[in-house]
Amino acid sequence: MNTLVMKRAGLAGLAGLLPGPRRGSWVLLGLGVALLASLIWSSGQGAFGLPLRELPAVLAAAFTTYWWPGAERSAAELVFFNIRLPRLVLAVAAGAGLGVAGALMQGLFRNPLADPGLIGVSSGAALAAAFAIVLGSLWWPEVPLALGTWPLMLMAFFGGLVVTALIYTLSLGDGGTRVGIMLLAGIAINALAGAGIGLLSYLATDEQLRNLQFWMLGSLGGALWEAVLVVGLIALATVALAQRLARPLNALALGEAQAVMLGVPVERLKLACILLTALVVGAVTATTGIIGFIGLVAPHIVRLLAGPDHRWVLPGSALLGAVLVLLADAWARTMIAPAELPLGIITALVGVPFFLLLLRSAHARTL
Amino acid sequence: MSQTVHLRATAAAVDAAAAPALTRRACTLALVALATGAAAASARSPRLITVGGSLTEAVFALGAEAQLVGTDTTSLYPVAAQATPKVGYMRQLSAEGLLALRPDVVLALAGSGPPLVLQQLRSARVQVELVERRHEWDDVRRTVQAAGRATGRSAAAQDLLRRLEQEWTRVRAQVQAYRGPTPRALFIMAHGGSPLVAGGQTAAHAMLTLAGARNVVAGFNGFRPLTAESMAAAAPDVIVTTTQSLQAVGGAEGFWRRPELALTPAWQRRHSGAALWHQDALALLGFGPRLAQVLEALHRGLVAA
Amino acid sequence: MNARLPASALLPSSSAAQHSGLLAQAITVQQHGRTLLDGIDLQLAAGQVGVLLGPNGAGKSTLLHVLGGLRSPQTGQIWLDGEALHRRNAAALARRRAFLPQELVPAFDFTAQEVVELGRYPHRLQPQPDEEQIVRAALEHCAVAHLAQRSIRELSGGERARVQLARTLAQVWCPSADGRSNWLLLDEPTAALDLQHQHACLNTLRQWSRQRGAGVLLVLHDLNLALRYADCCWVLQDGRLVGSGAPASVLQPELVHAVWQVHTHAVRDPSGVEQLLLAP
Repeated sequence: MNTLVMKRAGLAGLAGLLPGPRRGSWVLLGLGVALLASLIWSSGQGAFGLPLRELPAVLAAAFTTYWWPGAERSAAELVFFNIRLPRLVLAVAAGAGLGVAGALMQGLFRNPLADPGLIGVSSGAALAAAFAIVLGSLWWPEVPLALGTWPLMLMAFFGGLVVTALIYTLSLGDGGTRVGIMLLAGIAINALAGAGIGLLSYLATDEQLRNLQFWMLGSLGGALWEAVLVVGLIALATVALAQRLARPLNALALGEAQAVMLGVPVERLKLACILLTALVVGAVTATTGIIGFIGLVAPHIVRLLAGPDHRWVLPGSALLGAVLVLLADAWARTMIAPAELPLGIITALVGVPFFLLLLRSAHARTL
Repeated sequence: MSQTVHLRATAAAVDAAAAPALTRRACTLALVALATGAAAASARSPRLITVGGSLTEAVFALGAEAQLVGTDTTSLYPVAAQATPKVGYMRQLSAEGLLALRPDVVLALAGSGPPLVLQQLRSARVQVELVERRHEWDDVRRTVQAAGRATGRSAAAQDLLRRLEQEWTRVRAQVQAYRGPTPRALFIMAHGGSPLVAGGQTAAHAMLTLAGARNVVAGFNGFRPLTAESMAAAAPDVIVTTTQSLQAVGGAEGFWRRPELALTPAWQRRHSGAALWHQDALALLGFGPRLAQVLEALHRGLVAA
Repeated sequence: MNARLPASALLPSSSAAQHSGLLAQAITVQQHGRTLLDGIDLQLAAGQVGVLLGPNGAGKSTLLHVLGGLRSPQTGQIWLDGEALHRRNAAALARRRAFLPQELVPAFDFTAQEVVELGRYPHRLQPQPDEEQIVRAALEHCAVAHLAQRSIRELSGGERARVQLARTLAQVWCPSADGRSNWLLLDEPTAALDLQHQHACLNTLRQWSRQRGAGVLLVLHDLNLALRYADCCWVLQDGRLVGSGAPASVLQPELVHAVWQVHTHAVRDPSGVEQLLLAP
């Protein structure tokens, strides 16, 4: 307990060293630098043995090949541009999307323990993926349904949206959505989706089961450049649009009645949060499978550094989320090279102890 | 090894060309020899990754294990295969991981993936060959021929295949000549500790059928958990399983202690030792080069019950 | 004495539009078959302090929420400075009307200063040149300037209440651009405050109504505070209005006994303000 208090005090103290009113901007700057550094460092990580110092040569060679297409590309070039670079871009997009979605959810539910999964996006996407993998062979027998294939991605994306819409509708009451009901509906629907996935797992053949299993553990390795760019655009748009919700979310933190009295259009705000979260998390989950804990952890750390003002927490969570996913993925693809560890396992292994720490500190506060 | 020979030849050539008049020409010749030698060396023994235990077995059977730079997690036979770098599970390969081993050819069972990774390998100029598996003798033919093509030893592959086909014909004749009652058998898999029975469209079902037995639980496809009632209704005389499953449930004693089996005829004959037959998973279900000899052993085990 | 407003005092709808001040007519609220408010009429002019009184469950908070626009009544209408409430633009209204609900701890670790800054949210598109001074002045006004950088979740109940009051004042600190009066609606602002600060708070509110012409409507439990600081009061019991008018004339011992079931004895303090001594 004492170490925890000291750690929190230490972090807060560290942040307190920064000039007061502009603390948020300093934190964002620091996170931006961290992202750049992580990106550069991760570019040199990988099983292929293409370290950072060889990259400039590879880039130069690629430049040459671009202008004189007759030349043949070296293996290093192919590895970097076809395999590593799309993964890096996807890592940044996924991390940013999950991070900002987590911050939006925590602002919406007014609870630092909230997570995008509460509105059912992840479980909806997983259920749709299970559906596609197990029963999809009936409709698309020629198409292999594993991570990264278009039918699977589209089904997962829309599955996430449909379940979110269901939970949102369930929570509608007279006078708007009731956040408490949304939470409970989310828990119930998540459980239902879990049961559905269990049933589909039972019906699955060995091959389908393995495909589903690996999809649910999450990986950045299965995405085409087209998909990566789509997810990147969605993530960018979400972060930009979310920024406009920052001040209203601050007001919402005082309480719903208070926010209404301050002139905040609370129902529109809730819908916007949910819609943005569903879109970005749906897109990310469709291409990478389920990656957990980023949406929980990133906003919390940013809040510890920069304070609870959403004007800093929203973009900060996006930056920090990107950093976390980049680092976790670098680890995932080098730890047991030449094999690869699913990303979801690493985020869970690091995320669960952190979450428990969070619970303890949240509990400690209320004492 | 051929490269060292070439190096020595080059060194000799350079030495021999100490005479000034011939130096330049000799050097050029030596360099050309070295380059073509290296290319030829790689063409003659391409670096190979196999994904699938039966494919790895075939490569070893052809004596080409020196070319093997990586195998998947199911490649456990022969024992030397376990020492090669492991590229992970066949359905969750890593493109960069595979490319890090600098392969020329990747030989994989159909169903390996994810599909994007295979695509990325091809775009990196790695030859990717997928081998179909339909749980029949032709699997072995496809496996051995593919291994022959990938290792550049097609002639040796043909020889091996001819020998295996002779063995296969003999064993099949033996099975078909058997005039006794058709053994009633089923296959149990318990790698995770909880037992599943094999229905239709599984490798186990194919093996039982080829061995002249009747799979008494062929009413469904794939693997299903045991229930006592279904076991009693199925009433198998012999139970076939993998050695790994047996170990997972705690040996034959642990196996027979399972309540679902208590109502089967096999259980009543458990002390005879012939009611339970087991074999290594890869050998039994891999449909690799050992198919014929494993089938013979299976048939003998089934009819002994 | 039951000092209900005579029916003739209720304005017809047409002239309600010209009426300035807070006007509510025939407010009825029902929920799950229960009647929470039954036919309430209320009229408060700007520059006056009005108090809603009544025992627990009488409907005071409900009425305040309805008057603030947080809740729609089943029947009845409300006008604020001549415009019907339900047609109002919430954001524009927020620039002139501040609402302080009962205690709610913010979900995140905002500092006291950040909380008061949130009170200026409705003015974010048309900020005053001295926004920072307004925030500081509001904090000083409520004697919480020394707590500005402290996390609001770490403050005591009373300190938090004063910070929230500062926020409410900050929201309507400057006179409205169109010359209309500002309004403050407060739900039990003195509940968590100690004796000294209860009086300071109500004094501040009364000053605001006198000096800045703001209309102030609050819910109180303490009858003596109402007697001391309010210009008019409304007494609710079981959702019905049982008395309205100047506190001194409404809060007679008979009415107090009928509504609160306590015996009281009216006295006058040295400054001439009537107070009630309780004798249960």
